[in-house]
Amino acid sequence: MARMEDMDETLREHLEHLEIPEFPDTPLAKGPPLSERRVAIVTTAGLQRPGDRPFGFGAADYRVIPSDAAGSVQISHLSTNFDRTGFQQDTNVVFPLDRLNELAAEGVIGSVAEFHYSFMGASDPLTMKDAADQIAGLLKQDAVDAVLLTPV
Amino acid sequence: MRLHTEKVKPPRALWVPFELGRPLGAPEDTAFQTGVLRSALDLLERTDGPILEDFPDDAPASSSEDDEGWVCPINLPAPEAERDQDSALLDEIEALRSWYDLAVDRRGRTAVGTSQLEIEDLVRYLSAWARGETPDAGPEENDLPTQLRLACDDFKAYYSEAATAQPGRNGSDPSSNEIADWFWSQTLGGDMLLRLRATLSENENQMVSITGKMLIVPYTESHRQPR
Repeated sequence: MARMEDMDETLREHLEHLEIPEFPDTPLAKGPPLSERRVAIVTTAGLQRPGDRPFGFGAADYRVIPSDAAGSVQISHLSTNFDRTGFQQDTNVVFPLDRLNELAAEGVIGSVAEFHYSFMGASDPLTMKDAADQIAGLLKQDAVDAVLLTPV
Repeated sequence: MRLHTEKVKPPRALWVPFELGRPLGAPEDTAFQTGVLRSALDLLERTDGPILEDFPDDAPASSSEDDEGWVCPINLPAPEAERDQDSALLDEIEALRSWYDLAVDRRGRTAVGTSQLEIEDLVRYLSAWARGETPDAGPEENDLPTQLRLACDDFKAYYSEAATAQPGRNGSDPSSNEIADWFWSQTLGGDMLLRLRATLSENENQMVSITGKMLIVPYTESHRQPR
């Protein structure tokens, strides 16, 4: 249903008229083969560890999801207009850490990062720039050279 | 959203045809999730971007979408005039409890809990708001509209986790549409949230009013009115 034509009319109109930032160019970094890459997940699903601060209106900050907390993550996203029942049954449908660990064990990717990050995608993405710059530094420190972005 | 990705032009993007909220396609389907993930990761080896590839397959459909549809077999208590709405709602919560508990046991986790209220407290807190009262509950650091929203999300999650733990038709789980239809049209809980929407929408606190109007009932169910 990420097909516009399958969506409720109000939601479709909202998405069609959403202001989207545009950029003059697309950076395209080359990297080592996939089998040598260290992969992290950055999601806009509004995920948090249980007991962590929930995302509020206009939140432009992020929450850290360490690999060992991935099994217990919760959602505090503002929007009620995406399905949560899939996530309730299996976090991997949004945050596929188990699948990444399997690919690392098979040697398809090099390794899985120790830390992952979540934003809450209902906010204006341009307000997230400072937080995104911080995360870029943190990812470099963790030797990450591939990031999987998962929106909801 | 393909439309948005075309504007942003990220270096590498895989468009997927799945419903919003399920970027990997299907819960509890390791092979399908791995297929989606591999398709995305394989783009890393390409340098001819900006790349916007389409994932070719739809998510496996719930078989119940193909036949008579899923129906929650649990008889939920009907509201009776002589009983107050809170106790009828608490009975409904109780009728679903063994399935909710099973869901938590099987999955080792629950999405209920962001408001830090127990389910019975959620019922009392939300239905008091629906009656026009202004109760206070939950962690002090959560502002009022945030706590209300999280309480609604926890309340809905309790119902859908209980529903997805039940045996599905022909071995497959109910679809998200079937769960939503059941919750909003057949449960006292859904009815209470529809009344809550109406009450909060009139609240003088603008953020509470916005929460009532936009963050409780999804667009797809917004035509529904309390029974």
